Amino acid sequence: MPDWAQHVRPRLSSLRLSPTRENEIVDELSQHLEDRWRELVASGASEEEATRLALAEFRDGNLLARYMTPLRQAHAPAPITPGAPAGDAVCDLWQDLRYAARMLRKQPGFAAAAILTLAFGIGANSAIFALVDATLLRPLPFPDADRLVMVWEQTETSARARVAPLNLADWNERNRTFEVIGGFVPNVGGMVLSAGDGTPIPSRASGSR
Amino acid sequence: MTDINTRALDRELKRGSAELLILSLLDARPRHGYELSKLVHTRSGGQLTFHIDSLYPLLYRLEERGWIKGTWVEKPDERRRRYYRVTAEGRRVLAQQRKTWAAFVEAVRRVTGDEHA
Repeated sequence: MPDWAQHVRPRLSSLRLSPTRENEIVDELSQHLEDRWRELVASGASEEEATRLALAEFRDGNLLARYMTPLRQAHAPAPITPGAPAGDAVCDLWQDLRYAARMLRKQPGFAAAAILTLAFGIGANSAIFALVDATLLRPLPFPDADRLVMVWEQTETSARARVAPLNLADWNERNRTFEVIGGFVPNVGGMVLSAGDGTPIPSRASGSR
Repeated sequence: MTDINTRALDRELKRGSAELLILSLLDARPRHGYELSKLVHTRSGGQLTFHIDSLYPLLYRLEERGWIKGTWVEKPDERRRRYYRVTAEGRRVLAQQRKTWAAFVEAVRRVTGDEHA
């Protein structure tokens, strides 16, 4: 008996059937041809003649593929192979996202660990960036901030230290070097004391030339 | 007389009422594709024939619409066969199509019959 599958399968090659569906159709049509062939042989046809007549059920022009083209099953999406490029960046991204979502759903413990790791990572990065921004990136709230200098108090008998408020006021009165001297009290959130004329200003700097 | 849905009639004529034939045959009991093609041929006295390349796409289309349902049946030492049966939705469609065809046949009979009888 002929191998009917080799006559059926090529007629489906232009369709985008899933492999499972294609095998089902090949099986079903092969059974049909086999039934027809047996019937013809039983009625007296030679095996060759029966084969020819059975295959004559397929008319010219591959009508099978043409009639099946509008069906949904003839447009099955290509199977997803993890890591294999789909040929388009957006498709690749969408494919990867769907794959990741499926994997996370299948392993909730791993998903929770991954989400917590991401949360801690993002939180730590945000905190570090806020610190860098406040101390290094953001300009000081003074005009001509590049002319600011820090003034400390140091005597022959004492180490360098912060300036006492009364000394600051005293220096301001006698100052001929700086345009103005301001001050701040540490450990209160970097908020202000005053500028040289006593106007409150937000500052971490202590004076300017 | 039942009003004939013109669009439905045109569609049925174009398709040669193939859907109606298949649903009618499956309404009695589940059958496989080859049995369906044999029944159409013999019951129509050889006037109607389903070729393999039109019968199976039709069955698959009816299945995609939910009008019939195919099930594989395996028997020892035999190739598996796919039997089709009519679904509840298929029976509803069949009833509607039978009405449409009955109305069509009646209309044709009135036109072509002996109107002076």
